[in-house]
Amino acid sequence: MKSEIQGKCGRSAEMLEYMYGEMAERDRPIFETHLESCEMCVEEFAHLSEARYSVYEWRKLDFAPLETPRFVIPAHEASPDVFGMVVGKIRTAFSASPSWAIPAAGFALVMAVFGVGLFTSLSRGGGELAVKDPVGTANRIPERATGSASPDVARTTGETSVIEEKDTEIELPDVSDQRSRPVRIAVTGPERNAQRGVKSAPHTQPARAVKVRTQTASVPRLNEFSDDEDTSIRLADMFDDVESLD
Amino acid sequence: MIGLETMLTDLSDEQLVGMTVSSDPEAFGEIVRRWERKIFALCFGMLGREDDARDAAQETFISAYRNLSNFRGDAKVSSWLHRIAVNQCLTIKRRTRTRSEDYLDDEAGENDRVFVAPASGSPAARTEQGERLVIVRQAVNSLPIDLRQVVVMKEFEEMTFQEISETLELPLSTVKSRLYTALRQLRSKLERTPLEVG
Repeated sequence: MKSEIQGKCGRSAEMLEYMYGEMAERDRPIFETHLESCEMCVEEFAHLSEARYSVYEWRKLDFAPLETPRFVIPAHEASPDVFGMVVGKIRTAFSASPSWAIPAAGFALVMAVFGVGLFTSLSRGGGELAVKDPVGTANRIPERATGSASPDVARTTGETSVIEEKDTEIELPDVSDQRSRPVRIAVTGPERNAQRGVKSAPHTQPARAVKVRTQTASVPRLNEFSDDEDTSIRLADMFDDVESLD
Repeated sequence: MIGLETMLTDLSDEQLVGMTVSSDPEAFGEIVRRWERKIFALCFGMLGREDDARDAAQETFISAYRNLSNFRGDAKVSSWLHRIAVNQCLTIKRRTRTRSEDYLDDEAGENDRVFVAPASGSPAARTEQGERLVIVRQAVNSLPIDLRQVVVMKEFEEMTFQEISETLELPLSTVKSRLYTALRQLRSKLERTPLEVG
C-alpha cells in the first residue's frame, strides 16, 4: 500500500495535499520547486487532476444546484427506542463500573444456584407427597362418588390401596354411563319366593312379573358377591322352573 | 427558543446525542441540521440519483434516531452517521439492482434524468456534457466501495483528509492511498471513453 501511494517519484501523498489545498504553507514552495524539475510528477499531477476535475464537474453540475431536502422524522418515530435505551444504560453502567458489577454478577450467580437447589428439593418432596398424601386420594374419591351413590363403592374405596383405586377409577366412566340406562334386570324368581315362603304356582302364573328398575349404584365387585343376597335370576333356576313345569 | 437554539449550536455532536437520549429529543434536530447537506452529498455521490439520495439520507437520520441507544460513546457521531448512510446507500443500490433499475448502470435510465447544465451552453454542448456526466457517474460507480466512499467524501462532502480519517476511523495515510488509487482508476476508466473533457 505504501508503495502505491508513493507513485513514481514517491511524492504522491504530497501531490494530493497540494492538489486539494491541504499542504502546509511552508511546504508549498518546496513541492512547487520539485514539480518544476520532475516530469514524472507533472505527468502524474495532470492525470490525477483530470480525474478529479471529472468528479468535480459532476458534483458542480449535478449536485450543487440541488437544495438540501427537509428531513423529517415521522411521528411514529417520535420517541427513540426506550427499551434499547434502558438496555444501553444498563450495559453502560456495567461497563463503566466493573468494580461493583463483578460482585453483583457473583451475587446473581449465588442466587441462581440457591434457587435451583430450592426448586430441586421442593420437587423431590412434592413427588413423595403426591404418592402418600391422603389428600390426593380424597381428591379422587369425589370423582368416584359422582359416578356412584353406592355406599359399597365408597367403602371399597376406603379399603383399597391407591393402586387398586386407580383400577377402580378406570371403571368410573362405565359406572356413570350406567346411570342413564338400566344396568340390571331383577326377576322375581321361584327361589326367592321360596325364601320368602311364597309358593309360586308356575302354571297359574301367566307371566313372570318382570320388574325393571334402574340401578344407579355401581356394579359390585365379583369378590364381594354374596349368593345369599343375590336376588337376580340364574340360568340354573330357569332350568329348574322349566323341569318343574314339565 | 432562540436561547435554546443558540445553546444547541454550541454543543458538540456527542453532547447533542446525550441530550436527546436523556431529556430533549429536539436536540437531534440540531444534529440533522449540521449533517443533512453532507449526508445528502454522500448519498448522491454513492447513488447518483437525487430521489434515491434523498431517500437514503432520510432513512439514515431515521435509523440513527431509532438506534441512538446503540451509539458508542467512543466513536464520533459523524463516523456513526456516515456508516449508517453508506449502509443505507448499499441497501438502496441492492434494492434497485433487484428491480433491474440500476440507473447508474442503465443507459436507458440515464436518458430520463434531468441534467442541470449551464444555461449559456449550446444544445450540442449540453448534450455532450450530459453524456460526459453519465460516463463519470458510471466510472465512479464501478469503483470498489471503499475507494468510492473516499472520493465522494472528498469531492461531494468537501471533507479534509483529516476529517475523512476520523470519520472512517482510518489512518491518514490509508485515506490518501485510497484516494490516490481511486483517482488513478477513474482516470484510467475515463481515458478509455471517446468523449473529450468539456
